[in-house]
Amino acid sequence: MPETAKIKMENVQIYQDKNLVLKNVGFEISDGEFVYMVGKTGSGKSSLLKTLYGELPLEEGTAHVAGFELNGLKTKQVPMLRRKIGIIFQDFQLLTDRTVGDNLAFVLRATGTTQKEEINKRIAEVLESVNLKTKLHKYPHELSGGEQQRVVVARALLNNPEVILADEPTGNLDPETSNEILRLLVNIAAKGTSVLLATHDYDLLRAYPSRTLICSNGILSEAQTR
Amino acid sequence: MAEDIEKKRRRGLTTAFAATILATSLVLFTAGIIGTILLSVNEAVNNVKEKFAIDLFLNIDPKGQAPDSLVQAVKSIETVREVIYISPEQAKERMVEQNGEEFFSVLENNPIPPSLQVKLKPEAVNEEAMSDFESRVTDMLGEQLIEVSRQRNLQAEALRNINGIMLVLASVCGLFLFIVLVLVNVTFRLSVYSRRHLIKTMQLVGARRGYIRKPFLLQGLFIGFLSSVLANALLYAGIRQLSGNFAEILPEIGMEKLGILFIFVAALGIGIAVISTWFAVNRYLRAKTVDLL
Repeated sequence: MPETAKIKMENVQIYQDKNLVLKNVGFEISDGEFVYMVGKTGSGKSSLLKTLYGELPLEEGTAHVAGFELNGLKTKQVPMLRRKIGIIFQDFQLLTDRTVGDNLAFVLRATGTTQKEEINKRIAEVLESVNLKTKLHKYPHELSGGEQQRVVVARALLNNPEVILADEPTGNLDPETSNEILRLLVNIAAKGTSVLLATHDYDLLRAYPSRTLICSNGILSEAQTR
Repeated sequence: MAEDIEKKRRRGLTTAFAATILATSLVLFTAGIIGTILLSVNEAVNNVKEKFAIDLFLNIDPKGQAPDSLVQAVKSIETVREVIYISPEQAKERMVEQNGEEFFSVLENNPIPPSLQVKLKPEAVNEEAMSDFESRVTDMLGEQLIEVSRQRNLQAEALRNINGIMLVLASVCGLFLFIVLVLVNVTFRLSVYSRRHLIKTMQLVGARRGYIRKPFLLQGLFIGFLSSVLANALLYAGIRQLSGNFAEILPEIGMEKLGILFIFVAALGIGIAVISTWFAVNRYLRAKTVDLL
């Protein structure tokens, strides 16, 4: 794998349960690159992302993500892989029983940070980067959809990830808020973190054109946005 | 508005927590009642068994002193609970009590030889252990022993009945205990099920399985402990009330046995809570996101 490639797949078969959803997948994403992955619902976008973050096992082919080889990845290695990547979902998946601050602190504690000052400092940094500094003590249900998704982005940034995988991050948001989230992710990529964003919202591609992968008819191919 | 939602959410969590504790306490209390019934019946059976006597008629001077060495020798057998020397005079008094004066009025002498009345420990009151005692005591006393006498048929019949009752009771209690285990298990599995998405989210942010499991297990331990304390308190109050009002009918269960029962209830509560939580959490740790819906 070239030094700058943060994600690389070669001849990978993507399965959902026992069904082959994408065959012979091969692509690379470099350091700081922002890449879209588009396709209809059920075309295999989410399954590919799940394979990248270790939710689905890699059955055939070779793949590397953030320095981890996915072939034969052991169950106990999966948490370590996920600490190197940030994951963003359509349905936010925040811990609903705790505040924004506690959601973020949980991630830091769970991934080995123990010093309270260090935790507070890092939380303040990531909340500032998503412009949510005043929402530290709010519970997820007290925030709008856009704010919740920004907390998720902040959570994904906590461990300075090499890669961010976003699965329909704007699926539950209005166009204006979607633009805000996308701008945030583009800025993150500009600072050096590779971003792979799965979406079926073509308006986003028009607003922020970038390299695009297309999932269609069981095949992943490259497209050039205009 | 947000505060109202938060208050409602907290109230909901508190209610769910209290409901789990209440349900577990009541189920453990039921287990305690089953244990108390078993102990009471066992105590009653032991009381009956303690009345079973074996008479050893002795070939010694009927007018002599009580044969302390023989009493001690028989007492040294580990299954023996009590040995009483009965002189011919005492035996006569007992017979007169049972059969009336006329029985001896036709006899010139008291024909009853001195004897030892032996009572065995309840666990040794069964046909095998009593036969074993008979052969050991026959070997031990040799020519000093005339005869070993016991109400063989009556005792065998009584033991058969006792064993039958205990078997039925143990089966019923076993069934109830199984129901108790299932109910507590379901309570804790439901408690974890309601937080399955939380487990998945924790996994997706890179938390290790042990780190995710820990707070669930600690909570299970806490609920199990608290429920056991409540169940034992209820049980103790119930037993005291019953033994106060029905002291003549109910056999008294010793504090030592009650202590063991309380420890059993606590171990059951904590054990099932932790084990059920462990399995339930592991199930969701292994599950894929799509399986959680």
